[in-house]
Amino acid sequence: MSNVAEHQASNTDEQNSSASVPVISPGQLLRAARVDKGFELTRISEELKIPESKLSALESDDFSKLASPTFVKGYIRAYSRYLDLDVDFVVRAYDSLATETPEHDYIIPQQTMRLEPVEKPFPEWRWPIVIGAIILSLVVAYILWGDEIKAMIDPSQQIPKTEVQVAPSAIDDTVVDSDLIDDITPIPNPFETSDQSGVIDFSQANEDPELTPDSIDGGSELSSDAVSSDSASTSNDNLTAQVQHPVDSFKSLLASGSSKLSFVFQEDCWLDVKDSDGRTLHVGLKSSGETLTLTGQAPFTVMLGNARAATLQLNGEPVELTPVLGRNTLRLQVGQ
Amino acid sequence: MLMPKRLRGMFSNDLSIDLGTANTLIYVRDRGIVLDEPSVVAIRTHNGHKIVEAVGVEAKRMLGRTPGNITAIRPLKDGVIADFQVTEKMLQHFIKKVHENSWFQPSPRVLVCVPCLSTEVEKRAIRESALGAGAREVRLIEEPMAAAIGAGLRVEEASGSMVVDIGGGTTEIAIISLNGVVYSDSVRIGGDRFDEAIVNYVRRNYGSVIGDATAERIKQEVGCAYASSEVREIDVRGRNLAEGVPRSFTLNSDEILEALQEPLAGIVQAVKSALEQSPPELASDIAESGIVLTGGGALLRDIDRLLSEETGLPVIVAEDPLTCVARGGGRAMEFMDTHRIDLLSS
Repeated sequence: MSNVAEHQASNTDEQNSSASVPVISPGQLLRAARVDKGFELTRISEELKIPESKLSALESDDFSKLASPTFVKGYIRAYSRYLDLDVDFVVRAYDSLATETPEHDYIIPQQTMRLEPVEKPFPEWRWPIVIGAIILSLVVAYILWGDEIKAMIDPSQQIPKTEVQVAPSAIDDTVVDSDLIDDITPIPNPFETSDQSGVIDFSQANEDPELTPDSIDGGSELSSDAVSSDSASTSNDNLTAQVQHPVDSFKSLLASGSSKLSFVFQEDCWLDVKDSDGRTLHVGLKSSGETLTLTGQAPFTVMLGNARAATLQLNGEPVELTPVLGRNTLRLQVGQ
Repeated sequence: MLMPKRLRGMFSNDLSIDLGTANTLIYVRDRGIVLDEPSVVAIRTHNGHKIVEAVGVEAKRMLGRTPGNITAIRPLKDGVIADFQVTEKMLQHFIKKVHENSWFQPSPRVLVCVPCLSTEVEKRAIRESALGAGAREVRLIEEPMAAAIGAGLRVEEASGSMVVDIGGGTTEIAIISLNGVVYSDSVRIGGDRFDEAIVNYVRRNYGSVIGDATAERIKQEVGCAYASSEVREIDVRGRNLAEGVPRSFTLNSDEILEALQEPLAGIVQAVKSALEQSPPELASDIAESGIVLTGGGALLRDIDRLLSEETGLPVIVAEDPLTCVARGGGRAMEFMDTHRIDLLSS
């Protein structure tokens, strides 16, 4: 047996157990095996179709003359297989040499370096950025909507919110309750409410999109909603009664006797009037020039289809009927 | 969890997928090959609903052994998608599998390797199924280019390199220079055709039927492409057609060589025609350095010897030929952010 083969055999166990790096170079191994077998380079070159110059470069460990490491390894494999050497052993010997020299690997040439840089990959420091962004957005949210968040957390501060929430339910009945809109603004003097009950704070009404529903239209819709709006109005009564407890003294004054409502219509107008018990005092269409006088228990819930065409007096005192800008319908409570 | 793909993408890795007919490999940036499973999906039909029963290794074990309500499907055929929905499900499963420790549903950027002669429809099918599987961005790269990069060839140099990637469904041949494909060809011969040839040979000569899995085992253990002095043998069992009962018989490597003649001749012919059509400068480069074999077919014993004898050129088998394409795709992906590489599309 050749000395190379012996060397290889002695190393096989070692490499299996500890995967040690062979100290002998692949070129030396190949040359020794070839000489031992008495082969000529020309013959091997013909058999393996590898140019003779490349084989001799392999044997002298001159890898710079050869192509990329892929080919070098390929040649070494083919050559050692031809010489019946342990292919993996020789390749490992080459690897240990190759790691000492700089890795010839996939290199992008200079001329393509500046071409079309695409978006950068998301880097490793993404976590702190993402967490920071989340915290920042939470802080911003607190600054912007802090009061609402507080109100949500603390139910004792929910009273102003309730008023705002009631408004949409009234809107569901396709009628704007002018009193409810008034409720949003503080009432400085409760005794002025009878006069101001019809007054609408336009700026506020326009600012709040929920309070100016587009669905509000003429009287035809109002008739269908008359019954449901009734229940809504009674619940509103409870609410306003809760909030406006200073009004109670005035209300009791009115409650001692029945009140008188006088309507004068300049144009056709649909009308619905209910007294404090929810009884309907009048419902129907009034034509131009008609007058109507109703008596009953105040406060009255009045709905007008064409509020601009009517004037109203409560116990001889005029009540202002001005609907929201651009609307003709009005719902209000009179005599509170 | 429903979140925009972009946001989920922050928590996903970039993947390079070698969506092969036989095996699907996934390479993750900085982690290497993380998944290598057969492209097989087992589907259970229950009350008219189709449920994915198993994917990958598990499903492959079921191939040819399923009851009526389960079908084990290979959704890719000849390198392209044959069953779009099943491919999508399979990709979804694999992408999820490589993101096992992720909190969110992954949405990675994906580079998929496609056969070089695939049509626009086939490319689109691959892209859409990757997008359907959750990818937020899909790029395609030609398989031989990825294979060349994965094999460690210097594709960026002004020197021709020839790669022959013998996959499960197709054999891709390409001559590459300056980061581009100069010539490419794809023949629908691959590992599957080898298996098929072995099945046919056994049926013809032994009157027995063997399954694809057995044929594959025969190919891996005793298959060879060039006659050598070493003859190997294998015992196999198949159903005898005349008697109808399982019979055992022995096959040797010479018989398998005979069985594989036809598909091997097809590959040799394709390689020769590629050499014929290569520009003379590149042909001389190839003659000097040689041809590189990648893909699972390169593991067939002495296939390098066969091609070397037929072409008269040095033929080498790349290191770890099975993973060359996926690794090359991964390497291309690392560069595609900063440099332009000849990718098919973005």
